[in-house]
Amino acid sequence: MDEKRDSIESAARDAQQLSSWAEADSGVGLGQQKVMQLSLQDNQKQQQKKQAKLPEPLQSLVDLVGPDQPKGQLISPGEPKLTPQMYKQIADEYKPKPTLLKNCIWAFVVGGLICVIGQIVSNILAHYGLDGNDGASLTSVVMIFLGALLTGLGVYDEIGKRAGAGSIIPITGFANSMVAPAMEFKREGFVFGVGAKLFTIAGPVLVYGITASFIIGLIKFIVR
Amino acid sequence: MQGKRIGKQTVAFASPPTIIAAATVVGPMENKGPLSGKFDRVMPDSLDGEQTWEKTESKMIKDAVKQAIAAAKLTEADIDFLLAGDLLNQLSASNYAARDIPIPLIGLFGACSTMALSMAVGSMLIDGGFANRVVAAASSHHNTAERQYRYPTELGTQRPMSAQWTVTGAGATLLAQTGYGVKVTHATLGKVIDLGESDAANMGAAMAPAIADTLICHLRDLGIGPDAYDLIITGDLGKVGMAITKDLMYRAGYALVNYSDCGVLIYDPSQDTHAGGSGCGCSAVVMNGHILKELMAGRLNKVLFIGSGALLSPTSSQQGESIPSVGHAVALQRPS
Repeated sequence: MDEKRDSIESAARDAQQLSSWAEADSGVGLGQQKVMQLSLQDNQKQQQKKQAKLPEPLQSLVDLVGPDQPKGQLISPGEPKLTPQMYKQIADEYKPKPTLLKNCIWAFVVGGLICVIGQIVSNILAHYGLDGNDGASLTSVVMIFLGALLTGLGVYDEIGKRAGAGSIIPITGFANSMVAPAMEFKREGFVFGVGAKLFTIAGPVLVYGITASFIIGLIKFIVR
Repeated sequence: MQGKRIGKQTVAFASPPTIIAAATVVGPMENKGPLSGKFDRVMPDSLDGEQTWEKTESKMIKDAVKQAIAAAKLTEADIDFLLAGDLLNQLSASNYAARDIPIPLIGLFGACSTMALSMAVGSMLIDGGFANRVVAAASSHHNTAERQYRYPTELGTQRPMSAQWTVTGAGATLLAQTGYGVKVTHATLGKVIDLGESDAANMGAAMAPAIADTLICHLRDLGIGPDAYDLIITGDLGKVGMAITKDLMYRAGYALVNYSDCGVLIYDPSQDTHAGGSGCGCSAVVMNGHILKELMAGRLNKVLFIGSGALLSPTSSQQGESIPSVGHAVALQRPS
């Protein structure tokens, strides 16, 4: 708490300093841009960032510390003293980093698991004499069924939330992208709902997948 | 003008309208957050017995409005205007709810700032002498918003850390010319501001400059500092937008200390909503369910509530447009 108060007090002092610069700069225009530039280049930037990143409101809703308030100066983004470029720089600092490593591990494990299940299905089918093309096709059918079933049970979106590409790339993800809109838009009827919206997610994959395979086929035909 | 306008964007109410009743309806998830138990009605699930989520949202608005009127021991005939809005195309939740509420409707769209906007406009109607009592209401539903703005709800997508979770909730505030309750003393309506943020999964960053602008404008119009309020609370900036707002305010010369955000208050971090809550319902239920009660209990004296709205449409977003945003502020004072 003391540390927090210290940082708040020093922040208030800094802010006062900023506004006194602005005041000195001339009455109405307030020279905010100058202040902005100064503060952007400031070596106190780190400290500002520390001060500004204090979002612990859950505990401290009424626990209020009141420092001496500096007189404020207008940013007025309407008259672009704070330009989009400057703002982008500020906003990017606060953009949370994606949890890359965690996401990769989840994607690897879940994606791998789906493939293992596919392999098991394939092996069982082979055991009953269905291998080669027939076995592969039936395995796909089984995996699509599983993806659709888990979507219908409301489980697949929970998996996808964590696994990301790990559950989108396998064929089960394709099933999910078809069944989710089908379920979603059934309420708008079978023609304008399910019929019209069925391919909202899968559509682009089909369009560019088929186009790409056509072009590759054409190249192969010519090159041969 | 009778001196009701102060500065560039602020109005001061000559006889401040009073909030004589408020009501909230939330979904089950919202009631599992830190504000659990503060809401008037909790729906058992996201459908609440209706066929579609759109119907549920309409019902939520209707319930909240009726409950607020009932709480003040009034009937619909005593209310002059209903000011309501939501996130859906053609304001369908509010419009369909108003079919069953025999009060003239003023539909408002301020995206997630609708609660603040409707309170501000409602207060102006009352102080202007155009109405004795009005109900201001706003709602959002997680699933209706998801399917209109994003993806089908069952699609297995990964949300970025800056994304926010649309709150399922509706809140209604009953404003009256006289009575006992929280007073609305000032309102500052904001300009639409767009500093080029185009990431629809980072709306806090899109809205922060609009909020900072309205806040600075309010403080300058009244010639006060942020310490004039016990609490400055924004609508649904979430963690990211809140941090940026603090930074912007700091750069403008204000140290925001007594500052919080409805989007951060409504969910617990363990609820995995990433940057916090959003949607019209977010500020509607936090203000009506929590902050007004704190004011009534005297734990807060003066509160500045700034509703934050990201005014994007999925179409303009896909066409590569950035996200225009707006902030509307209302100043609330506890009953004396």
